[in-house]
Amino acid sequence: MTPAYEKLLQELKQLPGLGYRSAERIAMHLLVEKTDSMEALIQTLEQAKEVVGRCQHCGNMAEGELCAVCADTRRDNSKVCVVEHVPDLIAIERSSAWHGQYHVLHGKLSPIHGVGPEQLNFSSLSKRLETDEIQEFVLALSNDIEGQATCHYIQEEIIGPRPIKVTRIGFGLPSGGGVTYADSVTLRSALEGRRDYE
Amino acid sequence: MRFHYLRLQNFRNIAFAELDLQADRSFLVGANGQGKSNLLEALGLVTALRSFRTQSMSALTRQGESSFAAVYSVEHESLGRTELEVQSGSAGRKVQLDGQRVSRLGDFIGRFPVVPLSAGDLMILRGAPAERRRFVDLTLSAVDPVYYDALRNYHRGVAERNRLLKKGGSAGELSAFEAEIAPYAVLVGQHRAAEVEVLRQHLIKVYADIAEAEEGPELDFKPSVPLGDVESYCQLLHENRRRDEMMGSTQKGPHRDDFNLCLSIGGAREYASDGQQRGLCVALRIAQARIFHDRLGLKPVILADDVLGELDPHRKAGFWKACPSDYQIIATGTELPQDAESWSVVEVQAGSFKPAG
Repeated sequence: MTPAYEKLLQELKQLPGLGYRSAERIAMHLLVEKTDSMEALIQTLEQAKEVVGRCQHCGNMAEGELCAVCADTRRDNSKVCVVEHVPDLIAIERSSAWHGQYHVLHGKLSPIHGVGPEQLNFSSLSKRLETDEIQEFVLALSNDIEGQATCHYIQEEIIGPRPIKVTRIGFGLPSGGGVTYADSVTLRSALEGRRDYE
Repeated sequence: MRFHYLRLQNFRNIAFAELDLQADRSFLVGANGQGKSNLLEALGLVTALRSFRTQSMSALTRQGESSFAAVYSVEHESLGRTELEVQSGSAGRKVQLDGQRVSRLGDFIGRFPVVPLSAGDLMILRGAPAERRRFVDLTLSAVDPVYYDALRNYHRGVAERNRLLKKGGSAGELSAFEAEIAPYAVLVGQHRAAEVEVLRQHLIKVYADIAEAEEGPELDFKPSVPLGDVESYCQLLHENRRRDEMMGSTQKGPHRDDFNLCLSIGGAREYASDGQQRGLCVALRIAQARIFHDRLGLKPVILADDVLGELDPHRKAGFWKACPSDYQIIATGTELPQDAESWSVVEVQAGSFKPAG
């Protein structure tokens, strides 16, 4: 193939979730099959790069200083749901189950992967503790040792002795899922997190 | 459970093999280096996707190939007739159970219990503590997913803490990981203490069948830190920080536990004769099989790799006494056993398998 095609292929392969075959398909599509779609894509990418940034307040994706959630005055500012990544926030928003605010950390503590407190969006979280009147934090971080350690760090090092309620989302059976098909670790989480039947 | 047949592709020296294993007792006979042990190794993968001969999965793929595949047809006490497929290679591992992909190893481990006996078992006695931990961990992980999960999380947590110790992480970061490591460390320690006692009782019974005289076998759990509660474990990690930082890693904890095997004459490693050591290893494996049977309600398959031939007649008779007669046994050797008529014999030559007669 041509050197320019090879270079494009290599760049595409660097993108998350793309292997050699997918990168090849996209490169072929853009360069050979649907050449007219290329221009629109380039424009959209440039435009997005120009306007999309991080929300100064919570770390979510934003066009401008504040994201759509922070700018929404109808939301409950006293409750903040802490998530690892923007897609986690999008997933919770899609569920319509949360009407409070968010805080996006952009990762979790993992020394093995070189992620320490400096790499995470903790500084604006500390700032929010001073300025916003937060009454409850809901920690919606992953259910693994790094997620748990990050929760611990937030509780001990960021929130400290402030009288703020801190909760962690439950881990259990998927909705509509039967007990039989759940894996043993999920079942254990579900049993440990059981609550009174009303 | 029992194996019905096995199909192998690009595994070790085997380009392709298909083997009927329906007999209660199959014996693979052939000269050294022909592929007998390779076949047993492939059968041994079904318990925990681990080889009993090597820790490197990549060593299992035939030279010049990128992956191997093994298809097992199994008669299972709770799943019925089941087809299990394992593929492993440069693109990763894939396990399918009746065509359905198994995504979590934790849900697979222990569902198909097999117990391998091989000359390598002597390392459990003679080798470093890691060999003994591996044996105990596999036994416990196979019968208890909670243990497997705790062990995995513990090791992960220790690896994260070690990185913090090396790069000089803050006290807050260390506390965060220590607080999460502690409950898993306590759980692992408690399970090991309780289950090693069960293993010990089985071992004493089995060894009595195998040994010529009353030799007083014992198995003790030697925890690296005294068993305690989560809080005291956290405290211990906290107190050890300075030393751990100097050493660059976590010095104490379940990852440094050991298990002591001895006879009344003293430590098995130092004082037991060669025959006694082999007898102890066989007894440990039969004890493992009994734990699998008791806890999983499944009869494990015994894979005896050139081991029975190395036992003296008394210990061999003891093995047959201790090994339940309704377990499927698949054995290998360079020569046919004396009671060859009670075995279904398969001849092995240069990676190909042919039923004898």
